[in-house]
Amino acid sequence: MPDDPNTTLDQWAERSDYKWGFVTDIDADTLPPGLNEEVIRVISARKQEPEWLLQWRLGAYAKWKEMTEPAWGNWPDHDWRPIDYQAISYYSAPKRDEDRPKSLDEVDPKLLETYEKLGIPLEERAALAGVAVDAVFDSVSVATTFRDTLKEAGVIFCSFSEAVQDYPELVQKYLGKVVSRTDNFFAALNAAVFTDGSFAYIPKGVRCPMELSTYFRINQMNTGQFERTLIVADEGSYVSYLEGCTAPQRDENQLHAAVVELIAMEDAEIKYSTIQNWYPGDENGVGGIYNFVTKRGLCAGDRSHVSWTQVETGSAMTWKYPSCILKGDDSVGEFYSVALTNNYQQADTGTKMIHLGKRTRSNVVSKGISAGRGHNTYRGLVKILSGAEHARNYTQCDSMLMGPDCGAHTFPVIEVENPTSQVEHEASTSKIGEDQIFYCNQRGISNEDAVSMIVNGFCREVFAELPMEFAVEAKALLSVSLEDSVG
Amino acid sequence: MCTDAIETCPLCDAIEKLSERSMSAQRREACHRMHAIGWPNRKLEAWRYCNLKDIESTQWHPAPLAALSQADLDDFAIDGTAARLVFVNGRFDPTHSSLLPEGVRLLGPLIDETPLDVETPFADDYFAAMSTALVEDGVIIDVPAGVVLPGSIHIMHITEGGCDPIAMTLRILIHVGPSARLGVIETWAGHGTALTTPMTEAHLDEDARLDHARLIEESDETTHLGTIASRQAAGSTFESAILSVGGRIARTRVHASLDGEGGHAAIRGLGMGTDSRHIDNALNVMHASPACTSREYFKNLLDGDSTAAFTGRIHVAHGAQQTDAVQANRNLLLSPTARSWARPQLEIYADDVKCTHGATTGEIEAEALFYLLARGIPEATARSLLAWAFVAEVVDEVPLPALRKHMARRMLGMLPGAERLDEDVVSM
Repeated sequence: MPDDPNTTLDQWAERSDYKWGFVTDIDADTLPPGLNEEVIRVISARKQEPEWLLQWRLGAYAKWKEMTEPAWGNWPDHDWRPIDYQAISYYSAPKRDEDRPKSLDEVDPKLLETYEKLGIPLEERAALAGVAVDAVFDSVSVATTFRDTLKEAGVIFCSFSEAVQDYPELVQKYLGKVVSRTDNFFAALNAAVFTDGSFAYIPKGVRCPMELSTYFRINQMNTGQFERTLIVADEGSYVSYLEGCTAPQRDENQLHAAVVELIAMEDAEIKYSTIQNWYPGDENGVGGIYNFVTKRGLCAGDRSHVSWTQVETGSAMTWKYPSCILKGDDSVGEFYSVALTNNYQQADTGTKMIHLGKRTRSNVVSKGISAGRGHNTYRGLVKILSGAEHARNYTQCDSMLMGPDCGAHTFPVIEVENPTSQVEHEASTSKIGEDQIFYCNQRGISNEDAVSMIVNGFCREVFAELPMEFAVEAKALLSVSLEDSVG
Repeated sequence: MCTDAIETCPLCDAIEKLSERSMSAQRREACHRMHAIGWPNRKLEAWRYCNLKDIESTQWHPAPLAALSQADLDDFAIDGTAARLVFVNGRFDPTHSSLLPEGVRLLGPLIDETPLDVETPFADDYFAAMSTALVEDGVIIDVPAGVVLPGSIHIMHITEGGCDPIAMTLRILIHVGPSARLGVIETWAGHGTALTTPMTEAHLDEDARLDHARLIEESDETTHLGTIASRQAAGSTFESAILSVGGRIARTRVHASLDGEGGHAAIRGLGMGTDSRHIDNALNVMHASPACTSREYFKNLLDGDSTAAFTGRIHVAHGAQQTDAVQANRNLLLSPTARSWARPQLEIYADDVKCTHGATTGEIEAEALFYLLARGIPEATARSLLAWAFVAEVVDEVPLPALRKHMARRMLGMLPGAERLDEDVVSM
């Protein structure tokens, strides 16, 4: 890392192809690379975790060692570099742990500067939009706002480590209930080494007074991020959670293997929105982040509702399947996704909708946009079990292709074991027609604006599901990501 | 079963003993390959929904010679075809066959000198290899340039099983010359515990047309694991219909390759599931050249404990611009224990393409049923009428008139209460 961070920031900020690529230079307390039981014990000890959690981690690690790394969805053109799990540093925390900020004023100004570069000034955003931000900077959360307002409503919203200290019984009760610690290779790795994340608990009958929000950034060289998010919405409650990510520029692949668990009790609703913009690698496919995430929601109670909305524009490679287990009768699962790949990016994403309860409904809308040599894959499962009387699913996945060298792939699996259910799957593939561009040009609209307009129209159904300020950011992101891809 | 040395394979020995002649190198090689691949299990993605466990330990015997009963002939014959070639237990039966039309030869006498699966896309398939190892006979059809064969050729394979479980197959090799046209109907039917592994390979030259159908009317003890492969030159048309109305398992794997510009492939499927039948169709349509069109329409009507799996793949190669591909799978569940699985897949490497796919599963619509009940139609008949409407869409499109009639009769015979439906109403 260069000595003078300011020069570097300016240099990077000038680059148009990744305008949010910069590194904040804060001394971090980082474990040497490598993974073994000792590392897990150190992480657990640093975080002063109870014994049961350490054992839980070690159990996951033991299982992980026996598991084999998945290898699907590696399409042509991408130069897959194997992940060396021993070369990753599994713990990194801002050093000044003892004087962790209690309010925004105490936050390291350099950090705030980072957020400003992102175009999301914390205080402004918080004041204007009434958003509480639990900002995760590397692996330890350093700022939490609006804690009091939330506390008044009885809502618990804190970093995962704090939750382990302050609400151990809640964490113990729900951790790993939706994504078990041995669910898959990356979930097991996460369970073994996760360092922090967010925890939210909405008590019975409470409508969360504001949208909860967390910004993740990968910052230390060679540190994989292993976040763990757990959101529990108790009976009749409602919460909307926003997760947004941008990452600094890197030349080496970094692994991001997060786990998100949502639990909705009777009549509860959880809305989870994500904008993912990790560093995608350069225009030659060098570098970029491997984003292998496990996200799953459990509609535990009757009439519960889990809704996933995601805009995926970053990462060199994404494997991500936010899913819903519809256990309660009349529960509803939703998945709205926009995934954009450019240059050598690959996005393999989709959802699993598992219908267990009666009259459960699920809705899946997936929009994939491929440009350059990017590959976009929808991979999904809709499973109606025999007890799911009158279950209903509608799936729509549309692909848009730009340029002769990209790819769009669709691999849905539909398993129906109950005749009273109704399952529909539709997919289409299209391109931006030259006539459409011409039509716009005729009216004085530039190529870039025309593409941006058409793409935004294509994604409208998904953007409509995003909270307003997120929708604005998403539109801007798509335009930036597609620069120079047509015309 | 098979040892490493090809020369001492018990299966090969059994085949040789039965046919009283030695096997050619390519068949021995296929037998060897089959054992190298190994018996498929459900952990393999391709076999995930097809349970072969209960026949895994079955000791299959090469089929003995047998005579055809008149009842079978009457039952499975299709009226209105131009020629009929009857095979019993994998061998040609001249007494019940018509004269071979011009351009049609039997594979039996030519088996050693005919390349059997040079270009097969099923190199990884256990049962395709088994088919090559076991094949004793079949049909070679070669239609010269510009020739249009009137009517269609009906190739009828009847299994006459005895006490032993038997395995048999046929190889049908079709070559349609430039601008020539041909119709071929295959019937697979019979009795007894059997495993049939038919393989049909079609090569279509420029602007040629082949109308093909495979009708699976096997007995409930028979496992049918077939393959169909096609290669098409520019401007050619390949239409195929896979009609699965019999068999314990009726599985067909199709590989259609659109090699030349402007080719058209349409593959339709209809499955009638009763009892515990498993209907399985796995398709791969390769768009290797620009401006080709393809259609996959598969429908399953599932009653009893029957199950159906559909795996469709449209592959659009890099540079195959102006591709127009449609894939649809529809399942109608008539009983609470019927199951369906669908995997409609697209793999696209070109941007100027139109590809759509759809899959639906559901039961008979209550509103439609009510409409008919309100008009005094008994429930069983009303259900059958709606079921018929569902399947007729596929049958209607089969470009072989003789088969359409036969299918309509067969389908109506299988639907409860359908005898009340006037044949004229549903006539094709």
